[in-house]
Amino acid sequence: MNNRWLDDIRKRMHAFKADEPEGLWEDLRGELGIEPAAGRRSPLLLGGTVALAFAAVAVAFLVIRFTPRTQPAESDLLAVSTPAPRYAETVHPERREELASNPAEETLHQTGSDLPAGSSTAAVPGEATGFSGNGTTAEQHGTDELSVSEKAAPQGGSTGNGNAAAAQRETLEASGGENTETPIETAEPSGSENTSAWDELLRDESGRSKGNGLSVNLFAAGVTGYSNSVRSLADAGLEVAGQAGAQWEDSPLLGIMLFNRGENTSLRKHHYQPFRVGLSLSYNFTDRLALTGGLTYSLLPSVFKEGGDSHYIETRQNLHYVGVPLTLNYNFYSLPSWDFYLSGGTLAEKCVTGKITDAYFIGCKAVKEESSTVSEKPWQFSVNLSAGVQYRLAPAVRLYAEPGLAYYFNDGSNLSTVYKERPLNFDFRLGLRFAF
Amino acid sequence: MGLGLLYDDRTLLKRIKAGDNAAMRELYRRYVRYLSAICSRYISDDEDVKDVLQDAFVKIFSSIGTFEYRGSGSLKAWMARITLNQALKFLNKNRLSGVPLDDEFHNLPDEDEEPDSKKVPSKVLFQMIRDLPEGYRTVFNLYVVEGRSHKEIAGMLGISEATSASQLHRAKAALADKIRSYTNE
Repeated sequence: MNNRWLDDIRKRMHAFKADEPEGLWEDLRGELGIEPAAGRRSPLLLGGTVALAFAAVAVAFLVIRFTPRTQPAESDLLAVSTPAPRYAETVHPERREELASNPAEETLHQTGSDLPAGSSTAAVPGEATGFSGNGTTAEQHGTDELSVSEKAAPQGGSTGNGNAAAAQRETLEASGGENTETPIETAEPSGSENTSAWDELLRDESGRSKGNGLSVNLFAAGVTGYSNSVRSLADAGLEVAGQAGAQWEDSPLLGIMLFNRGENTSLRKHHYQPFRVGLSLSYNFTDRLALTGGLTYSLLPSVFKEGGDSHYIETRQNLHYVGVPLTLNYNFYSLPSWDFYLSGGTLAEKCVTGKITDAYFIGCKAVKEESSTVSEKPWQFSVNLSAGVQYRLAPAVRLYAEPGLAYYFNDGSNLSTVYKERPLNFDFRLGLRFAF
Repeated sequence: MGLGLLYDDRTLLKRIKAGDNAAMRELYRRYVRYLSAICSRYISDDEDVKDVLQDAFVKIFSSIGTFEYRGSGSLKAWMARITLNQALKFLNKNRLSGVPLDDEFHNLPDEDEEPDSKKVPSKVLFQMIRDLPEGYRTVFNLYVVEGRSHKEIAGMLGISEATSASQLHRAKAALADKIRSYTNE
């Protein structure tokens, strides 16, 4: 019988995850003396406070930014909100000290004494095996284990994983009563064909680490606004001029055309910075690679002014988008409190609603205003690339900033948006990240 | 968009060493199911699995300060080793109540055709292994899944190499039968 089925089982069992025993964490927390923080400000509460502060700044920013101005401002970034305290524990100081000073509860020899007669040399590889794999013996029960683990590293190869695997094998030999100088035994047929399962385990993990944590990201973003003006000589009113004398007050558009006849007119477009907020979830595939997806809301405010200096139509357009971002992030450098990363991805946004308000001005005086709902609701696709940095505000809270570039594809609609006027845009995100 | 780089193993480790309890919780959350699977492959009783896992985590957290990060996967492998050691320790302590490991080698007929394990879902395979008698299960796991040699297994369990080989042979035959039964259903 071949061993392919056994290889299959081995690989699948290495990847298999079982259910968490119910109540294990609670029991463990009690044993480790980890109690919910009392009288101490929770890191997440602190994060929430910071978030609220950012929210206040964001509101102030919005008020200032969306007051119409003649010149577009440069891109800004908004802040974020929402406190999300979940847990905050603190280890009982005495208990931690005790644990740190006495990590081993049982020695190899003590374990061996628990075994049936005749198995004293076998013992349980236990702690010696468990803690020596990394070259630094966590549990130094005796000189045998320590010396083996120290020798194991160079034999196991130059990589950390190799060391760990080699040390593991070496220590097991030692725990089995072998001389510590004994060369590493290769596995028997099946084992040698398949290589060590520990090697396999490490190799599996070197490429990807499964089941890494999720984090929630709250962010706000802005891209640069846009403004332009196209001037022309008004002549469209000529045909209606004859009717204007008596009827233009009922038709402000007619009046504007009439009064602008022969004047220089212009169409001025001003797109304010789109404002975007979002909530996303990130999942780590490896220590460095993460995939992020979520939901965004974007507001694209614009003002168009068409006509002469005194007689014109001012159109306010507010488009609301809901989007789904998908981003791949690569962390290329970390410091104790800082992470630096690159991210690239896509954003698919759908215009869900929009409102257009036309105000008619004759002699700089508003004579009529009418609103309508935008009938076109196009999809807006974009790709983005950014560099990011995040700073640790609290153990589970990070403040991050991601400046970058975004390219917006033509949405094929007749709507005038900042994305259409300026497809390649500076993009900046600022947010808070909560891990759980 | 944001990303979840908060808690890669390396930074998680740093935070735990700095006394960050939320990071401890995260480490637990990240690996408990993986370690639970290891434990459960050796120990059939769920309450025992829980106890052994608890001991393993206590040992992990109490000695993590001396763990040296050696690259991606090293922390997980280290935790897995501790868990396996705890499971073996438990089995050795409770050997009398389990199925004894006998030293006799029984020649079982070798099937020419290997069972088609790929048709069996991982969860079912996992349970099939759990359902093996303790002696079979332990040796099977150590030899097939962990890649240990019979010499190593003999040393770890306090049995002879011949016994280890015998148990493995029986385990493979028993498991193959289970798989065949499942795939023929």
